[in-house]
Amino acid sequence: MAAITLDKITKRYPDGTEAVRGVDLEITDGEFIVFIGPSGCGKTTLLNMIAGLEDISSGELRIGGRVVNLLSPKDRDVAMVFQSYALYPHMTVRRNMAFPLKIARLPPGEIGRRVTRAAELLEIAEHLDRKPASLSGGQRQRVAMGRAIVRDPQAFLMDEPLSNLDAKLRVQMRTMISRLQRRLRATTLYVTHDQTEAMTLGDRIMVLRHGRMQQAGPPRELYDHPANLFVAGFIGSLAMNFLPGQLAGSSLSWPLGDVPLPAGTIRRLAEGNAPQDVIVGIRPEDFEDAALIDDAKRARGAAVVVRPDMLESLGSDVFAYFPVPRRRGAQAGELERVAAETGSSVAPGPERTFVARLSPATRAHQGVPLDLWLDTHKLRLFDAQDGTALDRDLNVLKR
Amino acid sequence: MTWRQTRWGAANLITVAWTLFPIWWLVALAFKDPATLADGSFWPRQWSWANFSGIFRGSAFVRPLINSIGIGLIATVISVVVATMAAYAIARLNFPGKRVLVGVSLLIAMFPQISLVSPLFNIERALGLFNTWPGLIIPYLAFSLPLAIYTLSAFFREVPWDLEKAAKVDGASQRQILTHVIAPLALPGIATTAILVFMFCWNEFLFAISLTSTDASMTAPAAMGFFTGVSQFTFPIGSIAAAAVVITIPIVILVMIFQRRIVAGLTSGAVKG
Amino acid sequence: MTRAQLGQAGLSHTEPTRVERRRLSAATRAERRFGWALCAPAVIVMAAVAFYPIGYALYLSLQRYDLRFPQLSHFVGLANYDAVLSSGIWWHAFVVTAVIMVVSVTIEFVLGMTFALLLNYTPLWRGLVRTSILLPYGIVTVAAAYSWQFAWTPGTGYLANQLPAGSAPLTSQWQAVGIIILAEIWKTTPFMTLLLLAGLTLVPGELLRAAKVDGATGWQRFTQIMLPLMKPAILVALLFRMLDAFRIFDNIFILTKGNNGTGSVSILGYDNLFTALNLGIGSAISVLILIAVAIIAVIFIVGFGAAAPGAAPERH
Repeated sequence: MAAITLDKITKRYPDGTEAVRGVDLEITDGEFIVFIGPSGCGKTTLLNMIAGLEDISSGELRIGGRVVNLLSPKDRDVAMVFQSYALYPHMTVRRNMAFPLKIARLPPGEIGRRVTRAAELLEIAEHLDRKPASLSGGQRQRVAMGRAIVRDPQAFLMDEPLSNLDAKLRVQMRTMISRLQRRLRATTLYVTHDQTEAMTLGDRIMVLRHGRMQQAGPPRELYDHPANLFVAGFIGSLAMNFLPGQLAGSSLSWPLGDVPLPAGTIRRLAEGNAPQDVIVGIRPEDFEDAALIDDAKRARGAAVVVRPDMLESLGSDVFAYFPVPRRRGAQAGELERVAAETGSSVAPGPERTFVARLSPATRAHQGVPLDLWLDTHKLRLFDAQDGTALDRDLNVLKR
Repeated sequence: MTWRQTRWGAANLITVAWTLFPIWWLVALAFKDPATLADGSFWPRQWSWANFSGIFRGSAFVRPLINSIGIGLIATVISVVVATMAAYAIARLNFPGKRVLVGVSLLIAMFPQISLVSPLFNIERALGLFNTWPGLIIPYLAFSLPLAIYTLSAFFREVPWDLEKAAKVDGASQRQILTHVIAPLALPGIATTAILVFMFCWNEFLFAISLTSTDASMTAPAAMGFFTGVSQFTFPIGSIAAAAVVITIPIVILVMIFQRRIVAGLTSGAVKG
Repeated sequence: MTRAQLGQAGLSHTEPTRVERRRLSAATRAERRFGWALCAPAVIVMAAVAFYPIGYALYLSLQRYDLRFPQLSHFVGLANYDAVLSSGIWWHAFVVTAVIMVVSVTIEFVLGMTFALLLNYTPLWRGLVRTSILLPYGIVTVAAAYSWQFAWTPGTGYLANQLPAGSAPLTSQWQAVGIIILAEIWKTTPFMTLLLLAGLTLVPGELLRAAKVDGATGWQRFTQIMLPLMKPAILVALLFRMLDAFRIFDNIFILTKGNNGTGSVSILGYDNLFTALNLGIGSAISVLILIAVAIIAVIFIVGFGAAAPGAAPERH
């Protein structure tokens, strides 16, 4: 197992277009890092470059301290698991797993030992003499991983290995991958577009957009302190609500009313020379029915009155959807772009829809005005022009 | 039988009749007693093997038949090997000149063979290849390659890209990828191509009559073009019909067994039967 | 990803520097070499057998070269072409060839389309129908041609005997051409059928079902949906068959040997080469045929936009 360094890695095509732009990243030995981003962001291209399947246009790639830019895949000593598993259909499972070892001319005894060990680890030992066509999706996935494990490589590269499985299987395999990685202490690079996988599997997550790295850090950090609008909108299965607003001294003026900002936020904004026009983000779980909040907590936030036009009860939560007037002429170009890319639909028209997650004990009703409390400490402020986060506490973040 | 089935059944029958009548006619003629050949009836009034035994007496037909088989097989084997290599390169690799090659092979498929007969005739005479097996095998190679490459590259394109990537990461060289991963998977395509190429060589007429002069290398179709029959005094019709039936049998068998493959090959995999 | 796609996604373009372009990894270079090596045998064979002789044919066509007196061959420039193009015999053969080409391809198209529809939709005896439709493709042309010849020969032939007594269709010009067309259609319809079948299977079944629900009749579904969607396949099929038909030889050789004014341009070429032993004229005819074929191809590809099959596939 080894550390991997990406030093200004860039991929440029002959016609000048760039799929990956200047990615800098240090991956430590044994780390599980996830590359995530919308389709076309360059994450698979990046993985292919690390594997050696595509040429690196500029920048340096170091595996275990060695510069490997010009090495072919077989000399880089990395193993890859593909989205389609890429199992050789005409070979049995055993031969599939033995193939790379045979190419490397390992002695048959060693090959047999490694294959058996990997098969046991992945619980596919009983399928060793069957062909891929007679296996289920989950079994095939494990064979693909087995083929990677037997090589005992410096790093594992995984390209959306779980996307072809159904939801339930995906959850099972996720835990298996996680356990395996911890047991083998394997440096793993994992590409996905599913942010649930990213949040649960990764020691760190790197978000890519248009080939540029947006942020890299532990899942919690990306969730709580996103570096920009894009990361904020992308991470989190409950999408963040966004609305343009304006800073006015110590309070925030936005269509939901004027909201006083916490002292810490005000201080950080002043330090950073924040502009007047901002985009405000708040997650659904940072709302609550004001009637259910005790006074102490109420002081930590602010209350607004909204009129939910739809309520969804999921048993453990109630989701309230309410319209928020869109301010005319607000500078929210970046917001539109981000919305398009992160897949959240921004309906045209004078209103935007917000989602609030309420406790199941709520008495909220459709069409009835609701006192809604929001946690002002969880408000995230972003520059309206370029989307950068305005109030990140840089002392907390070391990377 | 529902009305719908009856209609389709009728349509099928008409189609089958259309395609089989000329073949049946040959069979009928072949089995007619030589004396009744001129009676113009569709069914033989008297069945006899005389025509068949006639053509197998002496080497007038046997030798050309052997030539057809030998030349056909050799040309097929070489053509398939060469085409497999080129088709793999075209379908899976990136190199300058690829489009030119595809365009060129297409051009050759469209060449009028008659245009090449005269120069080839002269060239082969000069090289001493005239009236020899290589003298036919080489032109057959050149003219079957476009069809073979076209069919094979369609099959190669069906092999998923990921398999090659996986093999590359597993450490296989280009050559190992071709032999261990791609070729075994393309085997059905290779078989189909071999069948199509063999049918082409077996069927070929123009070069066969132009580039050969004796039964040293004359193939069966060419020999039939110049048949004189069992004896000078009988119509050669019976012998020709018998010969035609004999050279048709292998094709009929091939088509019956491999009809799905042939359809898949000629429609480049679009129709899998 | 194309420039346009990436441009839409908001990426910028910068020109690659020369140094970066030259830094192809060893793998890419090896792939190129491997590609050339694999193609080499095919290229050599095709060049040797097709391109060199064509050049040689051009050369021969500019000579007066009688095989009986090879030592008297000498350069005569375009005299052979002049002789051919001003000869009524050549134009007669050309007209016959053109008639055969147009008539047979038209009928084949209709018949081929019918068979393709049959093969695709018939619920009964698929295997039998498929086999029988394929058989003419596999039969040796010579054998089939003999079958037709014997069928139309008065006395022996069951077809000839249906006609009024005394008529020998193979000896009368246009009747013989008719028989040649019949033989050609019978032999080559399978190829057309298969090409059209391939195009047919690409028509999404859902479109047809939607049209059915909307009330379209079978004929309407065929003309409004299937035909337009099959256009590329149709063009390719027509192109290949036209080129093939223009080069017709085997059937005519067996049926009439080109007598009674039924010869095609290819037969004419053959006669001049092997009967008259005139390599100069024969080569000139060969080159003219090549030019004619090229013109047909250009008309189809440029004029109608037929896409040549087997064009370079995309790489992932």
